[in-house]
Amino acid sequence: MESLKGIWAVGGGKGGVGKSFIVSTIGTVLARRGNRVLLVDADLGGATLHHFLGMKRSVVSLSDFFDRGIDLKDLVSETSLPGLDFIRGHKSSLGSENVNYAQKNKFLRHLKQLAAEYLVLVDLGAGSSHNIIDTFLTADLMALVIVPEIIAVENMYSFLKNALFRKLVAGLGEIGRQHVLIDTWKRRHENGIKGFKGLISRMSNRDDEIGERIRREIENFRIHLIVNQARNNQEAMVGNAVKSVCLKYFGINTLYSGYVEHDEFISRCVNRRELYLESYPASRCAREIERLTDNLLTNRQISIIS
Amino acid sequence: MDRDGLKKYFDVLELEINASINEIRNAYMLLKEVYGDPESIVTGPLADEMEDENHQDILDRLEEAYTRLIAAFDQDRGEPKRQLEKVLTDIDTYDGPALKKIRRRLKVDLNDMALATRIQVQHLINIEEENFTALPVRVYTRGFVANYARHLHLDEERVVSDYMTGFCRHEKDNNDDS
Ligand SMILES: Nc1ncnc2c1ncn2[C@@H]1O[C@H](COP(=O)(O)OP(=O)(O)OP(=O)(O)O)[C@@H](O)[C@H]1O
Ligand SMILES: [Mg+2]
Repeated sequence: MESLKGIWAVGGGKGGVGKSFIVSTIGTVLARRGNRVLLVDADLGGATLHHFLGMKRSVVSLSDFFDRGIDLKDLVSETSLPGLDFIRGHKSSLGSENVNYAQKNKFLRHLKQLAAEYLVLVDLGAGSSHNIIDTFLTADLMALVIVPEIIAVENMYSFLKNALFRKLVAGLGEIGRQHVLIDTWKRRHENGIKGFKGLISRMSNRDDEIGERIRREIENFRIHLIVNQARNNQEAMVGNAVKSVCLKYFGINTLYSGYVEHDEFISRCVNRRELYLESYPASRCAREIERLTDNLLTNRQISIIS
Repeated sequence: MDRDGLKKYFDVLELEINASINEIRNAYMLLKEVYGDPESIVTGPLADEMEDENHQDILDRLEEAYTRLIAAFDQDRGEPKRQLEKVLTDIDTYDGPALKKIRRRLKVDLNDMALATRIQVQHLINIEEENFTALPVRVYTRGFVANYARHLHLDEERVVSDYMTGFCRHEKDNNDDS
C-alpha cells in the first residue's frame, strides 16, 4: 500500500471539544496501518497534544522554531508507537501573539515540505485568528470538531464563515478584486445584505469574473465535520443537522464524516500517560474512530439514523 | 417514477435522486425538527442570519417536497396493481399461454425479466411455451414459476398451483409411457 502524504488540519473554534484527542487517535490509526504520520501541535496558546501521546517532556518544541529559527524537520521526535512522530507545541503561551507574518509563512512552507514525507496531522488551537485559519486553509483535508452544545456549534459556524471569507479574499486577491468583497461586506446594511449567504449570492452575481472565482473557491472549500463526545443517537445527529444548516444558510456543502461518543476512560488514559487506543482497542470509541478515519479517507458520510 | 423530474424535491431534503423511501422519511423528520424547533442548538446561533419567515419558508418547502415524493412512491406502488386488474379480466387458469399473454399486456420484456429474476431467458420461454421436457425437475421449475409470478405481481400461490398442475400431468403421462 502506498503511504499517505499531505496535510490534514483539525480545528473547531471552541476550546476543549476534543481536537487534540481526535488528532492523536486518528494519527494512531493511520500509523498502525503502515503510514508515516507526523502530528504537529500547532496550538500556539495551550499546547496539550503530548498528553494524549503519553509523553512528558521533549527537549525541543515549536518555541525553537519561532524563537530560534530552527527548521521544523529538526524538531521531530518519535513517540512510543512506530510510524508516529511528533512536533511539540509552543511551550509558553506568551509567544502566540508574537508570531508575525513572515514566521507564519515560513511555518506553512516547512509544513508543506514535511508533507512530502509524512501524512502531517495538524492540531489547531481554539479560536478563529488569522494564523489558525491560514494554517487550516493550507491543509489538503480540513476537519472541524464540534460537541453537541450550542457554544461549540456557534463557534464552528463562525470559524467556517471566517475561513471561507478569508479564502475568498485570497482567491479574489489573485485577480486583484478582493476589495469588492471586503467593501460589500462592510456596507452590507446599506446594501440590504442579510447574512453570509446573501453576501455570497450578491458577489456571485456581481460580474462573471468574480462569480466564476467565488464558485470555484466554494467548490474547493470542502469541510469535514466531526461530532465528539456524543452521548446518544440524538446527539450524534447534531452532525446531520449542522450539515444542513451550513448548506441552507451559508451555501457551504460540508461532509459529516463521523462521531465519537463520550468515554470517561479517555481522561484516565491521559492521566496515566497511556495511548487511549492502545489501552482500549476494543471500545466503541475505538471503533468509531476507525470508521471516522475511513470516512475521512474516502469522503463517505454518516447518514441520518432514524 | 420520474426521479429526474423530482430532483428539486430531493434537493430540498438534501438527498441524492436515488434515495430510498426510508431515507426520504428520515431526512424529512430530521430537518423538520431542526427548522421547526425554536430551542434547537443548531439553529439557535443563527439569529443574525435569518428572519422568522425564512424559517417558515424552509418548513413549507420541506412539507411540499415530502408530500410530493411520498405521493410519487405511492403511485409507483399502486401502478402495477391497477394495470393488473385490467389485464387479468379474461384469465381463469395460469398456464403457459396465459402467463405469456399477461406479460405481453404488461409490456414486460423477457430479457429484463431474466435479468431481474436471474432465470435464463430460455427457461422463461420454455415456461410460456410449456416445453415441459426442456424444463428442469419439478422443484426447480416450481421455483422459476414462483419467481415469474412475483415479478409480474401476480398471485404467486395460485399461479404456481395452476401451472404445476399442468407440469405434473405431463410428468405423469411421460412416466406411464415408459
Ligand atoms: N470523546 C470524549 N469523551 C470523553 N472525554 C473526552 C472526549 N474527547 C476529549 N475528551 C476530554 O475532553 C478534554 C478536552 O479534549 P482535548 O484536549 O482533545 O480538546 P481540544 O479541543 O484539543 O482542546 P483545546 O482547544 O484546549 O486544545 C480532555 O480532558 C479530554 O480528555
Ligand atoms: Mg488541543
